[in-house]
Amino acid sequence: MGELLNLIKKRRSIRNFRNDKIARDDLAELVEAAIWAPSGGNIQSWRFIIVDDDVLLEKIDAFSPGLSGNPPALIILCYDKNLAYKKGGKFGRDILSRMDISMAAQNIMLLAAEKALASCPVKSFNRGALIELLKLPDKIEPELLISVGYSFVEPPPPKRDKLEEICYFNNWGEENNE
Amino acid sequence: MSELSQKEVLKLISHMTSSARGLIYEPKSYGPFRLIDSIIKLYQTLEEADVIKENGETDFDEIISELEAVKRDCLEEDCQEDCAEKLDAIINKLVVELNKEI
Ligand SMILES: Cc1cc2nc3c(=O)[nH]c(=O)nc-3n(C[C@H](O)[C@H](O)[C@H](O)COP(=O)(O)O)c2cc1C
Repeated sequence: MGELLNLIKKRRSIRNFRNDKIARDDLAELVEAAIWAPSGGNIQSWRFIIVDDDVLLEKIDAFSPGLSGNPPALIILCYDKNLAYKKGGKFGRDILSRMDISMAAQNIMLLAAEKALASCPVKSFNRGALIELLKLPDKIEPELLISVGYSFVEPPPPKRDKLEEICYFNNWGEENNE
Repeated sequence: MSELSQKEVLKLISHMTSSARGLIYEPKSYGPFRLIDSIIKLYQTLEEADVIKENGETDFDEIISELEAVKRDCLEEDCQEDCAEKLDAIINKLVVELNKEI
């Protein structure tokens, strides 16, 4: 199997972290990977906040039911609504920017996996509380958190659907269509 | 001396309130997961603050570890019946325990 496919399969959502801090250079490199993701119209409306302050982490955790395992760092993926609208209209703001965030997120999590760092995407957070805690200006929309840290656990891969049940060549529903 | 700080109480209330808010639009199966998560957090907070009187016989650790197992499973596909059964068993134990206390 190719190295990249191996890494893609190895990445897991991990919800249990060790206390060890992560070097800021490593965290910055994860965001470097994020900005090399494709973005609709190359608008790059994404904005990133790296949180590694323990007090702030504790506060964010209190308002984020989807966040588990006390990670030593969070990458908050946001987008600039004004910039996305200015360059991409309603489509750019409401659709492209969120797709871009997803692509950036996968880059972050794959590089984390390569660096033997555990990560987990987290959507279940309270938007209003996060905006307040991070002092986000009106134009900045928080879309996804990614927890990052070192971990002892290697959870088994959650079930995936079989490829032949969800993927077709050419026409919908035609199995073994060669 | 046992003591539960305002900070810990606030963290619990914030967590539970955020869970309730999120659940309005989240999948139905997240409900039991969030409630069990809250129970575990509540118990851990009470235990760390050393506010649970040790004169009873109830083995809270056992109950919590059973709840942890249900929490792990309850987001799996088609887990409803299994989780309902496991929660029923825990509830039966709780009835016995509470009968001893009251
Ligand atoms: C958009 C999105 C939001 C997610 N939100 C959460 C979350 O709030 N909390 C959580 O623990 N996991 C969250 N996850 C992780 C999924 O539960 C996880 O990806 C899925 O169970 C598959 O497991 P795997 O990532 O280990 O392959 C999210 C994943 C995605 C893609």
